[in-house]
Amino acid sequence: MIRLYDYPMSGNCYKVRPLAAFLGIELALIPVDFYPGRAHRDAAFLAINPLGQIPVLEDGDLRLRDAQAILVYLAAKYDGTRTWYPSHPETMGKIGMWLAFAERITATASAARLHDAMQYDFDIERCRAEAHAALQILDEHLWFAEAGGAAWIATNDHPTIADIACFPYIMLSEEGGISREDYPAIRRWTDRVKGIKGFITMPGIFPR
Amino acid sequence: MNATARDPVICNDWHPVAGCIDLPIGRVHSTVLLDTPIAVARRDEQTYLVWLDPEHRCRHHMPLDAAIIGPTLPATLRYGHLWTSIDEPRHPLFSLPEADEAGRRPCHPGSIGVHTGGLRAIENFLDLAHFPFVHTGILGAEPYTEVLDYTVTINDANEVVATECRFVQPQAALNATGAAEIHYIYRVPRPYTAILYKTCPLQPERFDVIALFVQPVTETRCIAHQWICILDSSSSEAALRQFQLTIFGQDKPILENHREKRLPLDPRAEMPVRADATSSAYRRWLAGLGVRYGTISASQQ
Amino acid sequence: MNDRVSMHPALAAYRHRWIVIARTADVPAGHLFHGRLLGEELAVWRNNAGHINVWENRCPHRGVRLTIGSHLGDQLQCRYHGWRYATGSGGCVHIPAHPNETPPARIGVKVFRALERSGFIWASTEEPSSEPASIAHLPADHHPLRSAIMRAPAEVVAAALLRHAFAPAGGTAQRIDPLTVVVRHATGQETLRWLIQPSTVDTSIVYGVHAATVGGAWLEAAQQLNASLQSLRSTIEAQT
Repeated sequence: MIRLYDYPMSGNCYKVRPLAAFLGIELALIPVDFYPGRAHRDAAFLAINPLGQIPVLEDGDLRLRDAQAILVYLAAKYDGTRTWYPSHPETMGKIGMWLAFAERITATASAARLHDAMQYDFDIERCRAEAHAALQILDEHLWFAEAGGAAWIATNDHPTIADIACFPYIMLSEEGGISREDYPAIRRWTDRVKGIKGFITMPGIFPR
Repeated sequence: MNATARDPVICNDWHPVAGCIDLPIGRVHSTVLLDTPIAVARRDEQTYLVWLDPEHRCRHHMPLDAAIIGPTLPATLRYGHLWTSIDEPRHPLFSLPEADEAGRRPCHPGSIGVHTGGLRAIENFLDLAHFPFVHTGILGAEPYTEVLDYTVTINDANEVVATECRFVQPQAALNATGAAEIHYIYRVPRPYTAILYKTCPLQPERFDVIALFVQPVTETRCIAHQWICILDSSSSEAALRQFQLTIFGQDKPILENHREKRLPLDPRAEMPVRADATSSAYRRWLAGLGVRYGTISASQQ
Repeated sequence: MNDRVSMHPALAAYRHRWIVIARTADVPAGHLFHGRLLGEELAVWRNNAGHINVWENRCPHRGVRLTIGSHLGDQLQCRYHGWRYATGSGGCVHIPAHPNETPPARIGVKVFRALERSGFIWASTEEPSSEPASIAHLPADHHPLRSAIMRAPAEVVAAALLRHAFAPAGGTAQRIDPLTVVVRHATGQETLRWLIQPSTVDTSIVYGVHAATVGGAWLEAAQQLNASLQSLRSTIEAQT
């Protein structure tokens, strides 16, 4: 079975779980005591991922770190219809762009959450300001996507891994003191993500 | 006005400021208690320090150095946490005899910062009716939504106690094997401390102990320190922690979406029903103690 | 009540007005829209028949935002304890903790007056004096623009919109009421209309309506106007 080194409160680990659910992939979850145990910094885990980050995915002999890389792999390998990661070059380019944007959301909104919820020493005002700047960009993108008839970040009719990658830390933003009140297009899009058949939640994110 | 200046009840009480697990020897833990920046450190296995850090000079996790230690505050290690007071504690720390019982397993699932007032976090901990909607499939599930009548009293030690609480739970604990009617007793020894005694899936005649110690950071921010002392000897530490953190993680967005982060003490401010008997008694008890920090009193309505 | 701070005097002037609080498209079926009006937080949703509800965003039980709840078609359910409120009246119809009892009639969500016209949702905190011109005379063929949230009082935003104008060469801008600016061609034909929502004392939302241009060019025009509006927002926010 495919193994996922997982922590239930991590938005990055969570990214993998709904995609696996949409694709009908069963995951064996291996709990990593990120907080308070700091097990991701233990020698045993550093041997699995020298960056000391979760999630990590193991499929046979393949070991992958980084949530975005894992999404790319699972969608490319296990989605026979290739709707979650279409092989169309332009769409692949767009998805790559928004996967990098998801990393930006992690670096800002997730950092703010770690500061507020788990006492990490970050520059909180800067994290929040940069998260708002990123949300502003996404809201504008989604507004014009909608106006042009597209429901999803990188595609018109079917969600992709770009939507999954951007979703968790946006939904968890309030835990870092970042309100989504000013981003109506983002709020409509998060509703659409929650409406995907087979959607699953994590602690901190309610179903629709 | 500094919100603490008007509340001797809370200022003279003991408050948790860190779980032991978050205090590696020789490192500073920087935090805030009652709007007051403080620093905490473990000097060696036995010695814990808490001091005022008004200029916020201590960064989180910086090495402990005698030069950075300011005026010290009282420090007591108990129930897996370090406790302090920003004034003169008028009472000893509340008692929790189960902590010393043989065969129990203490565990600190973690301390989580929340964008809400600490009294909201305590009140939520005392609440049964939200289980099917917030902890769906674990602590509750529709159609089992009914809260049967239970008894709320104030005991001889002037603590709020709710007994005969019952609820049908799909997975009451990590080691539960199926749905069961679970029996609860709640005890609120201090305004920011609540303890739950819950049917143990393995030994129905004994109770697991689950405690919530809340550190009031400001009137609208808190750190929720969980501590459990249970009879489960087979589950791993990591699995126990993740179960508790999952439950708390589900409560968090509710707590952070109260329009008013402080707790209103006027019974007309928020509409209670019979199922809220513990919460109503808790609010009355807080008003009777004269607690102001983190509350909206009737006169402020 | 605890969180019902009395209305700021600068906002009280708008109490009896119909004020735009969202575009029609901001509240699709099944969505719980988080809005704001004169400092009041709103939960805006439509029932299965499409009827618009503009409610205070607060469950009367424990004060939790209703916008994190569930849309049940003709009822809105609070996420915390599952209390359900009926479309239209806002009255509480079900308390799951006491499933066999009828909820007391006094329990209900605060409901605001609302109407939906010309692609916008309008609300009023108190009895509105009339339907303002800004609702009645919207150009028949128009497209809504992307709204812009500005950290500035409505008065400042209205004055800046009037000054900045976005008017075509030879065109004019006119403030037809305190919260509406109309931009016209030299010919007198309306090209743009700005509707201002005073959400709080120091935050305003600007909604634009663009008279339709020939063919499919409106999206391009909307993008240009969005860029201009965002740049105006930076200028205004830098000054306040």
